[in-house]
Amino acid sequence: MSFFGEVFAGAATGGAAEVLKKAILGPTKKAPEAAKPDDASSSTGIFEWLKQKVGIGDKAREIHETAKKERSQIFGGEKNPENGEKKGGVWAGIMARYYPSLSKLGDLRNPLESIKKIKENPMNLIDELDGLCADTILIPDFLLKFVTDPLVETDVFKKLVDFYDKGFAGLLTPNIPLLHRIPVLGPEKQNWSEKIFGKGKNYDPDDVFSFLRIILKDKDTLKEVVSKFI
Amino acid sequence: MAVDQKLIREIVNYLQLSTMESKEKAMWMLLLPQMDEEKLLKLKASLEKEVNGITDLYLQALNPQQQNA
Repeated sequence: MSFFGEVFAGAATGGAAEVLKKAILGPTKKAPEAAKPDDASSSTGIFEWLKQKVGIGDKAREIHETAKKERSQIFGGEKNPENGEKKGGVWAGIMARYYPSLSKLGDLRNPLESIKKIKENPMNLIDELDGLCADTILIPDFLLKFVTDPLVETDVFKKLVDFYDKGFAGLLTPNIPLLHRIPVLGPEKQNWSEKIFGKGKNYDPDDVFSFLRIILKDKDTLKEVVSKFI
Repeated sequence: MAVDQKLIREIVNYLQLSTMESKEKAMWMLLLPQMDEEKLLKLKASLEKEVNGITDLYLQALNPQQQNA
């Protein structure tokens, strides 16, 4: 189950998680305030309000942007300027705890052993990819890169994209037995390699999740691909 | 919760006052129980700085208005 899925599942039994769920999902339908639009409470609205009413919108925006940058470093981790070493952020901890198979994809200490375990139990990785796609609903856009980078930088993901991109061209690959050749994805086939890897670090995380959502539609095929061709 | 509840309470209060979008607030509310003390303290420091900064601006802007009143 995904991280956020577990939190909300726990809410069914009450306790602190129930309080969190209510706080996050907001008041019930009975509360009239829930439907009331409130421009001043949005991050853009308040700067406009401050600019119009008291003329300090630019300074307020600067404070907002600085705080946003600090929070991204807390979420995604930061590099030590002295030795260039990257320190894990909040998301690294979530990955290690709730997505162990995904975390192992980037395991540089024992890569062959990690890949072997994934190939033996491909459904673990597939379920975690499923959970990850669901969890992104609650992650703001400016933080999505921290979620996709650990996946995009791995060889396994590159092989997955390459494999699905080949489509019918894969039928010509001599070392793949006929029974295992994967058909083209049809109207959803796009040049994912170019979209995701062609732009270097400037790829759009939404392209990564679009690709994952498409390949997760057919989990049986994905299981074959992970267990045999990664 | 092993982490100081007082720290969590302060962060929750600052979250409500922050200018971040509601989606991000919801995300941090869910992540708080999973965070270690070091990261909670960093988050609290960042939120405190932001909220105090916005409040200072408001008070600065208020002063000329009070003088003209």
